[in-house]
Amino acid sequence: MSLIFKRALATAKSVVPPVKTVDVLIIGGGPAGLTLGASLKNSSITKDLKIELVEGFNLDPVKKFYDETPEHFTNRVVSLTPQTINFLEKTGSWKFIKQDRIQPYDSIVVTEGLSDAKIEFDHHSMATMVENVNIQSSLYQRIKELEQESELKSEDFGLNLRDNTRVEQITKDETNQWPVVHLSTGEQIKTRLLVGADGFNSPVRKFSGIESRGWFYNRFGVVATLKLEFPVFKYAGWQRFLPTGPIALLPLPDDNATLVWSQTVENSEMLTKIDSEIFINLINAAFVLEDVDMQFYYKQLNKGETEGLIEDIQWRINHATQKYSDEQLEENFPLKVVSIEENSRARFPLKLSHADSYVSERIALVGDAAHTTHPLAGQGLNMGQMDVQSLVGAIEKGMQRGLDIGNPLVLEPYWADRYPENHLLLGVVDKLHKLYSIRSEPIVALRSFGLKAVNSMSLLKDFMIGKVSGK
Amino acid sequence: MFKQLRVIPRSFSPLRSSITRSYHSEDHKPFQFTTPQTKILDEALNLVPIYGFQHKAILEASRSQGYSDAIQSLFSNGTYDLIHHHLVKQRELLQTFITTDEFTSLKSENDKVKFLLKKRIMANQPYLKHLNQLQSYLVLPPYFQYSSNELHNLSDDILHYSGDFSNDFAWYSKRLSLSSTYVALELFQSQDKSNNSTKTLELIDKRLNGINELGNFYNDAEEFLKFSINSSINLFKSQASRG
Repeated sequence: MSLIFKRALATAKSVVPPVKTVDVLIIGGGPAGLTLGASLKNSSITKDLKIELVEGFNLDPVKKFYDETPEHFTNRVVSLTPQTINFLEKTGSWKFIKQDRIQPYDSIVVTEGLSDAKIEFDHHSMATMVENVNIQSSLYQRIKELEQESELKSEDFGLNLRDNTRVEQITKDETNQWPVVHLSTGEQIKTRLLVGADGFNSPVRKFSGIESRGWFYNRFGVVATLKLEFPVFKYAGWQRFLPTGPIALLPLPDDNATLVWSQTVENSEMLTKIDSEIFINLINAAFVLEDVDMQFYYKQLNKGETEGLIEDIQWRINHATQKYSDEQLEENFPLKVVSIEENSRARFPLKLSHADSYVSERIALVGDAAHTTHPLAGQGLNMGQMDVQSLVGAIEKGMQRGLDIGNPLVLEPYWADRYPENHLLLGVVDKLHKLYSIRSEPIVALRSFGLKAVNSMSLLKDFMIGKVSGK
Repeated sequence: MFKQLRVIPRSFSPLRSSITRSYHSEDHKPFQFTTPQTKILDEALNLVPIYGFQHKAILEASRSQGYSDAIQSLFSNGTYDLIHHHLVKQRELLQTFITTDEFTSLKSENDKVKFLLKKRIMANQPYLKHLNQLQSYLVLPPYFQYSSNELHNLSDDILHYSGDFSNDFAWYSKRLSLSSTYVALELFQSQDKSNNSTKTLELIDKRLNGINELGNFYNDAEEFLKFSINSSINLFKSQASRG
C-alpha cells in the first residue's frame, strides 16, 4: 500500500512542475524593467508585492560594474533629462551612479549639412550622458540596498532577479485567466500582473495581442566611443543634420565622446567595417564638409577605394576651416576626433513604432515594448522612465483603493497618462527626421530660415528646452 | 460594346509584328493609320526636315501622292493636324520597344521609364531644327487642350509599359511629374547644342530620380496617414478610459 502511494506522488511531481505565483512579473532587465522593480520595492505602498524579474541576457557585467568598474566607456550611452534623473533620485538609485563616468552638458549646437543655418540650445545641465550599464548597475545596487534595509531573508524580500532566462511561451491559467510564463529553465510563473519591458520585439505584447504600428526608417544608427584631441573645456553636444540622417557627437568625461550617426543601410554597414583611421576622418569630415563631398566619399568607400582618401579628407577639412579664426572654430565645430575605442562600433536599425494600447487585462507594456523612436532627440530611454514612473503611480493608487493590480481599471490611468505625451514626442521626432532628409532647395532654404528664426527667439527656445528636459 | 484587344493595323509598317496593346479603353480611341489623312501626314512628316512644321509640308505631301489640292479641306486644323499626328505616331511607336530584349532585361520601373523616355526624346532628333516651332504651336490657346491631353497620354503610356500599376494617389502624382519632366526635357532638347542630344539624355537620368522620390513620398504619406488615423483613435480611447 505505501509503495503505491509513493509512486503516485513521484509521478504527479514530474508531470506538473511547480508553478510559482507572484504579484508582478517583469520581463526584461533593461533600464525600464530594473527601474520598475526598484521603484516598486522603494514605495512604501507597493513594497510588499512579490516581484520576479526575468532577463534573457547575462547580467554579470551589470552586477560587477559597481565594484569592478571597467576602464573604458561602453558604446551604449544615453542622454538623461533632468526629469528622469529626478525620478531616479526619488527611487534612490542615483547615488549608486558612478559619478566620474557621467557627463552633464549645458548646450547643444545643431547645424545642418545643406546650409549654414545653426541653432544653439543653452541651458544649465540640460541633459546628462550616462552609460546604459551605469544606470542598470545603480538600480541593481539600489535593489540590493533595499533588500539589506528590509532585514528579511533574500527569499522573503520578494524581488527575485533571474538572468540568462528566456521566455519560451506565455499561456493563460485555466481557472482564473492569470498569465502563466513558461521559462527556458522549465519553470512556470503565474502572475497577477505581467509587465513587458522586453523591447521592440516584445513577447509580452505579442501574447497580449496588442497591435504595434509604425515603420522602419531604412536607416541604421552607428554608435562608437571616441577620443577627442583635448579634454573638452565647454561641454556641449554637437548635432548636424545631413540628408542621410543626423550625426551627433556627445560628451563623456575628459577627452571621451560618444557618437550616434544615423546612416543609410549600405553606408552603415560600410562604416562599421572600414579601417578605424578612415572612420575617424569621416566623422570629422561629416561635421565640416558639404553633402556633395560626403556623398563622394561614401561612393568611393562603397567601391572599396581607399587610396589617398584620408589625405583628401584632411585637405578638404583644412580648406573649409581655414577661413575661420580659432574662436569661430570653437564655436561652430566640435573638437577633432583622434581615436576610437576598439570594438566599440556597432549599428542598429532605426524605426518608429507605437503600440495601440499599453495595457490590457493583467498586462502592461513599458519602454520600447510600447514605443520606439529615432534617437535624434535622445528621448527613447527617458520616455521609458516616465512610463515606469506613471505605472508605479497607477499601481500605488490601485493598492490604496484595495483593487487587484492586474485589473484594467488600475492600469488604464497609466495608459491615459502616457499615450498622448509619447505620441507627441514620436511625432515631433519623426517630422524632424523627414524634414531633414529632404534635399530639395526651396525646402532647405525654408527650414534654414526657420532654424535661424528659432535661434534668435530665446523665449521660444527656452520653451522647447523646457519641453525636452521636463522642467 | 467593348472591342477586343486592339491590334495595330498591319498596314502601319513599323508595327508589322502585330503587337497587341496590353490594355484597351473606350475612352482612348485607337488611332487610325490607314485613312488618306494619315498617309498624307506620314508623307508630310518626311518632308518636315525640309519645310518645317508648315502647311507647305502637307501640301507637298498630298501633291506627291497624287491628290488634288482640294484635299486640304480634310485638315481643318491645318498645321496642328500635322503636329498632332507626329505626337500620336511617336507615342504609338514606343510599343515597338517594349518587346525588345533590351527593354525586357531592365529590372526596375525607373530604368524602364528612362529607357522609353530616351527613345521618345531621340524620336525628336530628325525634327530638332523645328522643335521650337512645334512647341510654340502646342501651347497656342485653341490647341492647348489637345496638346496637354496627348502629353498625359504619353506619360500614361510610358508608366504603364514600365509596369506602374499604382491605383492610388501615386498614380496622379507620377503622371503629373512625368509630364512636367517631359516638357522640361523637350524644351531643353530644343536648346541642346550637343551632338545627338547627349546632354538631354544625361538630364533624363537626373530628372527621373526626382520622380522616384515623389512616388516614395506618396507611399510614405499614405503610411503616415494610416498611422495617424490609428493613433488618433488610440489617443481618444486612452483618454476615454479615464471614464
